[in-house]
Amino acid sequence: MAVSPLSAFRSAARNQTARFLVRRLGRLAASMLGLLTISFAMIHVIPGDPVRAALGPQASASLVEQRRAELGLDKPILEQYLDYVTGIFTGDLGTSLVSNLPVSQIIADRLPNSAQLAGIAFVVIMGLAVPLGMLAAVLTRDGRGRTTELVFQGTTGVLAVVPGFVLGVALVYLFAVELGWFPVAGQTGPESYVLPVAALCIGSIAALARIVRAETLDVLGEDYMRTARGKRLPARLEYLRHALPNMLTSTVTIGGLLLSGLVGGTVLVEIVFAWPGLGVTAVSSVTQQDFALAQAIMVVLGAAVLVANLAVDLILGFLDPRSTIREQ
Amino acid sequence: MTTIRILVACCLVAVVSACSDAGGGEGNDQPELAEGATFTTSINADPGNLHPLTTVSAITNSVVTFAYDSLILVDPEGEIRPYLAEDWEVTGARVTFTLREGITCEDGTELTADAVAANFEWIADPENASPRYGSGLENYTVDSDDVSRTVTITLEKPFGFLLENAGSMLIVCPGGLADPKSLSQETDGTGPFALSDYVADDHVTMTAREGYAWGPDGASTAEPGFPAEVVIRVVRDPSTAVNLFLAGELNDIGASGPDEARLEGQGFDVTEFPGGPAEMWFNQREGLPTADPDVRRAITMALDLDALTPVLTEQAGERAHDLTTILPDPCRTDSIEGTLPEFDPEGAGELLDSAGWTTGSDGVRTKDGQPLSLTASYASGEPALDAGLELVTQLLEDVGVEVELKGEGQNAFLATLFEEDPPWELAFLSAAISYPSGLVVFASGPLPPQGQNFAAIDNPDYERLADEAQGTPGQEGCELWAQAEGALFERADIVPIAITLAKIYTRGASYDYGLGATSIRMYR
Repeated sequence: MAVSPLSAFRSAARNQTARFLVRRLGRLAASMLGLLTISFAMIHVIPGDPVRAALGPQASASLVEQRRAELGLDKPILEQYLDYVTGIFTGDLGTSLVSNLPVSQIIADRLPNSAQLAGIAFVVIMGLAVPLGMLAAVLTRDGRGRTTELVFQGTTGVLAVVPGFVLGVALVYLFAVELGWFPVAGQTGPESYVLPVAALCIGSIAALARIVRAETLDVLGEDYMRTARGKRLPARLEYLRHALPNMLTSTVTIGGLLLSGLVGGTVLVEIVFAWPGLGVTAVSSVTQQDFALAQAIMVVLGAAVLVANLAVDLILGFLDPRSTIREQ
Repeated sequence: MTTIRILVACCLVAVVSACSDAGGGEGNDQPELAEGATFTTSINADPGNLHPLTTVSAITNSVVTFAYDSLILVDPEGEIRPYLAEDWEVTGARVTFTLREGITCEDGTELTADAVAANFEWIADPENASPRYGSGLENYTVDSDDVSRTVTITLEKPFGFLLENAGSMLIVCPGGLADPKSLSQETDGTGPFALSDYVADDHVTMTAREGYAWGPDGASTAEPGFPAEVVIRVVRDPSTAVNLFLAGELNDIGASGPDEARLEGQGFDVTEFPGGPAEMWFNQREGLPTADPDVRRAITMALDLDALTPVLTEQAGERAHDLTTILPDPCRTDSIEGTLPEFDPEGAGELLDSAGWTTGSDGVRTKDGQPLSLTASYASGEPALDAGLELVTQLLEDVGVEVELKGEGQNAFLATLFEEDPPWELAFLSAAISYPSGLVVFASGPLPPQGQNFAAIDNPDYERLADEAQGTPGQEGCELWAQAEGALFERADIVPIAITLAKIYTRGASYDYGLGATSIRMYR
């Protein structure tokens, strides 16, 4: 039976896409297994005795032993690991050593707050950094706007290197303590999102805007852009239809990395703003050696990063079918 | 300095409450009382499990004392005041409490003598693994009579602090005791507030109970200016907590170090209370240089405690007088005077010489080829302690003792202390004790892992005097405890250095921490 060249191409493309998906999902599964193992190992190598810490120095030795047995901490380490992995796959994340609450309940309570913060921050970053970077590129292309370039480069260069939590402290002092415009801390209403989101966003907006500007400048120098300008296309069409799609690949890549970074970045910002998210709980569970909770949070945060990376790879693969990422 | 809370029937509100005296302050004129207001305070960690009979956390105790009452209140002066119990009678090994009439639980049921007795039976049940059981309050029988509203606890042997210890235990209502798991996130007590909202790692909200009139000395929630709600926010970062206070979002704040400097001189009311002591403990296991009393005494004599005190307390403390610093501190004695070796570096050197430790060419003393090199273990992360230990190192080097500082995280330090063969000769810690009997398990008895005598102290004089003091009530008992502590200092088993004075700032409210939650008043 004769096969048309077009259907052969489509079939090959489908096969390539399927292989790409299988490879990526396989890597995700392997990474998850590594994450489970590392999260278990890390919490167990932290020096200290969680039961003694929880019960205090005045607790008798017999009481400490009794509690340790209740928590299964007297079992061989391999058995504890198998219990842990089995629990993860059966949905039993265990019980918090400190609060006695099911770990799954704690995570369900806290995760949405962190996700909201990170999600809003991501949207703001992408929504501001891309147009800002493109605008800076347009205003400074071909050696124009030297002052604008200096101001843009200087400002974004400084803001990009200031850690979010340091920025957070400064924002709180100025806008909450001194001016009283926003709440100092906590999740008390829409206004309480402003400062933590700003602390998370400002550095990333500055960093991404610099990259977008550089990418846009490259794209604007391409032949097809000169052709577009030669056809006297309206600026809106020139930049949005021709320039934007061509600098989107690198922007999405960087955006994905920023999203992964936000997962970790929210931890410190949440502490500064006493935000009821997973980051604060993560820190307390590690310091208190609340094994079950700390392990579960590490897995959830790690999985969020892995899934974000997978999503970026898939988006890149589908945005640009010629991308070499599909071959990796 | 890291605090090892060895609280015997004394928890944070007992630490804060009992610990601070009223008001004081930099003198704000209090404005008009506010009705239906919310008192907002903060804690620096999640309170976790709210069961008052299973927690040892001072933070958790600071929360649950809004919802639970005790039989008596030991005020900051050490006086005992009526609370749930209107009367009591104590002999050496027996105490009888008589309950007030009309006390009700959150669910409206009356609190009976049987229900109170059930609390003491509950903590004694090994299955419940309650840390409240022990340290003197152990091996007892409980009798109760609902008609006469009396609860009697009889120990096997006399215990000098029986009244204070048993009377300070928070009482849980029958519904809570029947379903103890529910108490991890709910309350079921007789206190002035009942828990209305708890979001882990974020906040706890307590709502005032109507009709409550059985607080200390009959205090009630119907008083003008009493808050309708108490909100306890979890704020981990101390600077954030101070920001919240400065912005008017908190009514009180405990602050220290650089953050406290932001509060000073701004006209807020301030209450001072003694915090944890700074102490040095010697590991006396066989084969270690510090097993030798002469070495311990020489090291003690080499330390200038007057110079160390301001460094360790960031200029906000004083020299310790005894080992019990946390109020109510019923035994206010000076067990150090005349017992603790005084600062005398020359004498320290001579003592080491006579003990066979001779100075080598590098300035470090040696004996039988072994250098006098000691490891000092401590919980790191507190700048004042870091600075203080640098000074300790320098002072000991001056007499030929080499010191290696080993700082660890709080939990790791605690684990290191309780190792079977711990890798330290000196440990710097803060044993925050309110009753001298609380020290016994740490200064005598079996070593870890069987016991809690982590420094391997073997002091027959202390054990004899402590045993005698254990069964002696009142001032006579306190004198014996002072002698027992003195025996520890004479042999340089423990060196108390300083006490930190903690401060609580208040705005928009007044709070007599010594009298508990019923003393809160809100202002416009």
